[in-house]
Amino acid sequence: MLTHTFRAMGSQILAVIEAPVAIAQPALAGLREVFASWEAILSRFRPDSELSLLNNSQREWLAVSPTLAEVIALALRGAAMTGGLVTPLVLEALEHAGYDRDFTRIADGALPAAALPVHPVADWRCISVDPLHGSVSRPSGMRLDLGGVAKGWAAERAARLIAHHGPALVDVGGDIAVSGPRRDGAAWPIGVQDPRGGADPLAVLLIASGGVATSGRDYRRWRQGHVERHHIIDPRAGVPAETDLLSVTVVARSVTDAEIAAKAALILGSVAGLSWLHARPWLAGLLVRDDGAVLHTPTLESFLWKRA
Amino acid sequence: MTRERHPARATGVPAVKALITVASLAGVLAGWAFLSAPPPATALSVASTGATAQTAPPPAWLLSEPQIPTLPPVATVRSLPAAATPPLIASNAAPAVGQATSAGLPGASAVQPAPITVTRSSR
Repeated sequence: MLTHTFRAMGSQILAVIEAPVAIAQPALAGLREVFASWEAILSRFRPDSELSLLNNSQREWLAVSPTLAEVIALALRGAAMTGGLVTPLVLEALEHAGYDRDFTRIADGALPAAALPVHPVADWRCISVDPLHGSVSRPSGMRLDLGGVAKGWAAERAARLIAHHGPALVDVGGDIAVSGPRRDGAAWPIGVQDPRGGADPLAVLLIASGGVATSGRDYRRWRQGHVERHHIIDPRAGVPAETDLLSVTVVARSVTDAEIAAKAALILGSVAGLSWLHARPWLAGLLVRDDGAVLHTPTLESFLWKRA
Repeated sequence: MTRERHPARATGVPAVKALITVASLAGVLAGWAFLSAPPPATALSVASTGATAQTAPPPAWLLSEPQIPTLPPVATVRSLPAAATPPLIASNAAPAVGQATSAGLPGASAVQPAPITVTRSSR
């Protein structure tokens, strides 16, 4: 088994492949360049990215690259899946909350206090994308943020790329895709970080297909004046979600579904979020409340490592 | 060859012939009558010339506008119906993770496997 780590898309990347070294090494080494090409398309923090050019364009209809079309289509699918709870139209709200630059450049506490405007974000249904012909249509001036789906998408694509050489796992900032079972047929053991600060994982999940993702307000948070903010926007109010959940981890048949579902459940809070996950038996969720309680859906049982 | 003539046969044959003839003529006349009768539509159109058409009302199932779904453009992503809001239910307290369970379950082993990596909120 060979591993490769690097930073891209504002996150720590880990790529793992079970293949002979002579084959695995070049496959893994090539990933850095692949991620760089995706970042050049999808980053809202780069003024020259294709996404930024789209966001700065006043035209309603634009031709876009297949990659951008695909990720926008995924974002719209996520919005449809969640009734608009996870939407690509939170950029303005994020900027108002202080997340207007790469997270590593936010000086905690240095942002001046600001009252946030409270109103729903724009309706995602006014956007349409044609992945086949590579075009996007949206009201003039409407800006998109793909942070809700881009990492999961990248993990999945990367895993698929290197899986030609052997069983693979790709972790993009905690959103993890596996290409299938390991070489010996076993599942990949994946820990769930304890958002309460514990050194040991909260649980160990055994994942043989699909992916797992975690959404939380325990890391990407900062202070705007004296007010604590985080990056998960509740689109119903256009402000960081007021939720009793510290983090939500979801296992799904694709890491992109997991990423979307985790965000939706976090926004909904422990009661409605657990109910929402429970109503979708193809999802398995583990929720950590800010009072320390750990909840999970019955479907998570089949993924939990248990002591024999 | 000499054939004897019977008086009864001599009397019945002309009657039969007359009967057949009458029946045939009746059939012909009936056929002429059928073919000569104007078709109902023709009669209606003739009758409606220069006047308002008297047509039967359409069936009730035709009265409401047919629901013809709008075909989406090819390869364009369209919005899907939003998922229904789930009812709120009490949260389930999870059993402590990693506790002993019955042996033989998938994922059960004596020693916790070392995680390859850890899922966490974006780092």
